[in-house]
Amino acid sequence: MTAILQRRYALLLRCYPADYRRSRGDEMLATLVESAAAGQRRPTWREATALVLGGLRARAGTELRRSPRELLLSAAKMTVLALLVYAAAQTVSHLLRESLGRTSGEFVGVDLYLVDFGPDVLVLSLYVLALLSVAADRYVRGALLALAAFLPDTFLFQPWSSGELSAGEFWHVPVAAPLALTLAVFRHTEVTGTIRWLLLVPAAVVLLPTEVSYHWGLQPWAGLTVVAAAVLWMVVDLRVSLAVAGLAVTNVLNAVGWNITAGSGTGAGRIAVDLAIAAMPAAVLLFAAKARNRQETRL
Amino acid sequence: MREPTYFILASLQEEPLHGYAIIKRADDLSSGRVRLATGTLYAALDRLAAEGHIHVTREEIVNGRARRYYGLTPQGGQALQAEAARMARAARLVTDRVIRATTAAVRCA
Repeated sequence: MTAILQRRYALLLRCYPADYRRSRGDEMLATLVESAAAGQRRPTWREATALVLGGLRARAGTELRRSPRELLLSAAKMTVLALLVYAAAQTVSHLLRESLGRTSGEFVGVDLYLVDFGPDVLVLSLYVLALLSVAADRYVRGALLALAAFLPDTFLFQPWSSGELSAGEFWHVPVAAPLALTLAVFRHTEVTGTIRWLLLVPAAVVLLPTEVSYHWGLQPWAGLTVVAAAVLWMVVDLRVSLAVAGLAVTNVLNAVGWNITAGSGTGAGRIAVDLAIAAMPAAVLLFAAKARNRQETRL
Repeated sequence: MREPTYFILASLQEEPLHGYAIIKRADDLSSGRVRLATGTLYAALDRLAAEGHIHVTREEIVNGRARRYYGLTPQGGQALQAEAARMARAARLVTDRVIRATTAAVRCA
């Protein structure tokens, strides 16, 4: 009986990183088995939840307390990375729409695209390089690469005046670049897995508001799911939730831009409602993050 | 200080204890209010060790498994005392008022 329970707890302990399991796994398993009731064959929900959450937090490196400054800088780095992922995802989305539009010829709004594959591939490469640079703590290089992708992409390839879609994706790099430079000023260093950030790009094409995800009818539900997941993820890693809040804030700025350019024909009341709706995810995330941070700063 | 943290430190006041013993002692000291899950306990122990409030005093092998004993450091003891004093001051705000009210009622009678 103990062997079965032990096996099940050992399985749950796999939520923890291998290093942690090597140093603590046996000790924790012994405590889990000692705490079990006589005849118990399955882990209790309480123990299972604590192990899963503890494992995820250990993997995220959030078990140890950070100073408010460290937390802010770390969250700022994640926000820059998230914004660059989003910028890259939007370029991938352009490419997808461009290529799909060419093969089917039925894509709505093909006329919005003034660029060919070449410039988009170049822009995407620059965003990827910017992402890799920021992940490696090369913030100045990352900011310059992001700006090198953003400026021609926005003002030459897809001018701001070209329509609502351009206006709706303007602010990610203008927010990310100064934030990256701020990190350079503070000389923030932190080990960041680059591969996982690159893998997020295709996921962002589908989950975040991009032309493709709108076209596939995934929005606003996919975006709201990301916000809901970010609220829940606060229990594991507050920094990720703050990074999603950063994305949400730039979407508010984009909504303002959209209303100034494409939406200027609608009434003030409608604009106010649009902006309030756009601001809601950011507000929810920031309020929840503040509450969670207050809880986490207690010993 | 969170309640589980307070009772973990309080359970180590008399002697160093291993994980399961800490869970039992915290449960006893809090009259069953603080029932620590193992995952929660070890997360708290990691945090407290990193902050210098506890340390591993000894290790032994029981049934082929490592068993670590955790003890309070002087810094951990001070943090615990400070928290207890804070709670005592907060409690006095209420209990002193009740005592004054009772005394006044007795005098009037």
